[in-house]
Amino acid sequence: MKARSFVAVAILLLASGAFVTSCGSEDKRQVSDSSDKSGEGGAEAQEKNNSGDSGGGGVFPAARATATIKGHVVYDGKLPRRLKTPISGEAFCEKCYPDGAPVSARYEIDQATKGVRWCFVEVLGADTKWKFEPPKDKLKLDQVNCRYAPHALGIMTGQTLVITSSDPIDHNVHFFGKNKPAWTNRIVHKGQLLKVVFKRPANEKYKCDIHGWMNAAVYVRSHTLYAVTDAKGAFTLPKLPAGAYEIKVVHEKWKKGETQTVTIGDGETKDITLKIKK
Amino acid sequence: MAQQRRLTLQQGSGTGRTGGWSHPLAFGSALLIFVMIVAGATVTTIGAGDSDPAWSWRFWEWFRSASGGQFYELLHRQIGTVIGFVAIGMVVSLFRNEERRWVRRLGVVALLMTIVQGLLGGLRVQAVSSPAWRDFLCNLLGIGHEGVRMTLAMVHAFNAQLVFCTLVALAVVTSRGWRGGEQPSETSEHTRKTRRLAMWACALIFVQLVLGAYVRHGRVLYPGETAPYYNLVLLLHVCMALGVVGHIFLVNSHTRASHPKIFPVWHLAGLAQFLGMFQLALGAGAWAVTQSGVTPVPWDVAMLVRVLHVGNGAAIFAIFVTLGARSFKLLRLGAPEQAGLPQGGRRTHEVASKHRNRP
Repeated sequence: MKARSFVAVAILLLASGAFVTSCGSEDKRQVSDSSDKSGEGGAEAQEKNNSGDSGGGGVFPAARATATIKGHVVYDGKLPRRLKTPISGEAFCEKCYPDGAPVSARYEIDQATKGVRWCFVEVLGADTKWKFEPPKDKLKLDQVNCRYAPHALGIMTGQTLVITSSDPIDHNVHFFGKNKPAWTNRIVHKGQLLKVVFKRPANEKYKCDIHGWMNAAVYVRSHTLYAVTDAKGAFTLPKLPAGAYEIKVVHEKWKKGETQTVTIGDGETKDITLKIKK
Repeated sequence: MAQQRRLTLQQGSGTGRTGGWSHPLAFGSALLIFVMIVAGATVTTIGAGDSDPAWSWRFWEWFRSASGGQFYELLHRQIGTVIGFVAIGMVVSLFRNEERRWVRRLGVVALLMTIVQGLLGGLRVQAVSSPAWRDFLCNLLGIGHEGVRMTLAMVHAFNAQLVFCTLVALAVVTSRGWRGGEQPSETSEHTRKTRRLAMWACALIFVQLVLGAYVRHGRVLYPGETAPYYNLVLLLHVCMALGVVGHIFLVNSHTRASHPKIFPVWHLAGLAQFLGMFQLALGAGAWAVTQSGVTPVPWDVAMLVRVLHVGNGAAIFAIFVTLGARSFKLLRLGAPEQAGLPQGGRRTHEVASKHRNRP
């Protein structure tokens, strides 16, 4: 029995050795990818051959788009308590906020106007109506003073997102979501560039596990008709052709976002107010 | 030579063998696993499990200074490494000094479970940071990578409790009292019920720990969202908590009434009852700071409450494993008059007051 037990232990140790060795070799490959400062790693290049899920009829008629829909997103109901960002455990981060931790990005609501920041406002069904080309310009998601900047952004499938860090300390960039990017979790050093191209529309998230309060919301769509609200809850959608549109608001924390139907004529500007609540 | 040595040990053992380092190492492993569970709970609570994306066989690289959430994650891995070595030492000691075959086997099982636990932890990290492992596991389980991450984290969490339970049992059976010929102190017709109650308590607590792991990981791993059937599992967890505490009360009242002279049995039940009540309070606190979303408490207080909830749950589990093991050692089945051993039975006021006045 003793001999048999030792054999069993030896087999398991060998198996575990094989596993950890494979893990080690995986790490090496990953490190070599992430050290690519230009960000044009092989993994990213693999993703570039996708063109997104744009479907629908003709190409979006940018020339005929003269109507403007803008407005505000306001919190509906009693304002929630403004929870602070729980910054602790990292000397550099604590030094960045000598006057105390800022309000958590998820709770940034203008107390006077009830305008909600970091809401994503979009034209529903735009991708079934028209086809869109992914914009050539790259979007940047930076990490500044131990927070993501910006906290929320919209991006089109096929468009490139560049993730970087301006902080002198390490952050890890951990992806949560439905897409399957070439990498899901990496350490990013100051100035390092990591590129991501999303394949499918979804509401995705990034998080730093070293500094648990750091998170960012990335709204991936297969069109470009969206906007993110500012500190007053204001937004301006890209110009649209005349017609009737369903405008929807989304927020990572407050789930009940209003959908409003807006009819607009050529050259017209409409100001709307969208409500959102818990 | 080894056989001769074993024979010598057996001859010399009787009831007074030393057992070498087996007991200190088993006890140390169990203690370290408990610390590990608390460290793991801290890592989960602050969501730092992926703060170091690399996980390789170069475990010595984990012994470095870190800050933020990475500090807790590396501490978790460091303790895990130490546990691995201590468990190996324990098994070596068991094979050198222990004559009971089943104890040696239990030691091997504990070591294997410890290794599996380490590998699960590594796999849990790789499921996120390694695209190859992520895609392999997604295809294998047929779920998205968030589901894979959650599943592995849950299995990692409740396997930790199983490892803990096994090591606690080893620590009990290698203890001096057990090895040193501790004889059944009482023959009682209530013994069967006591053992059954203790084993039921272990089973119920384990199920409760699994539900708790789902509640914890189902929330933490999906920022802003929850895992499927989350609210149902949460409700089950709450209902079962009341059931488990009720069962603990039952065990306590039964052992006090049936085995008033067997202090190691009923005092453990009493301790479990106290911790069970504390656990209910901690559970309510954890719910208040995470689920209700209305309780404005500092972040570190919220973390402490949730970590204590996990640690206390593990402690109650360990108590019932110990109680179950000791009920098999100290209590004998049968009618009291047949064995000539001290008679168990319903506790009288005299006996109760005697125990209360015990110096």
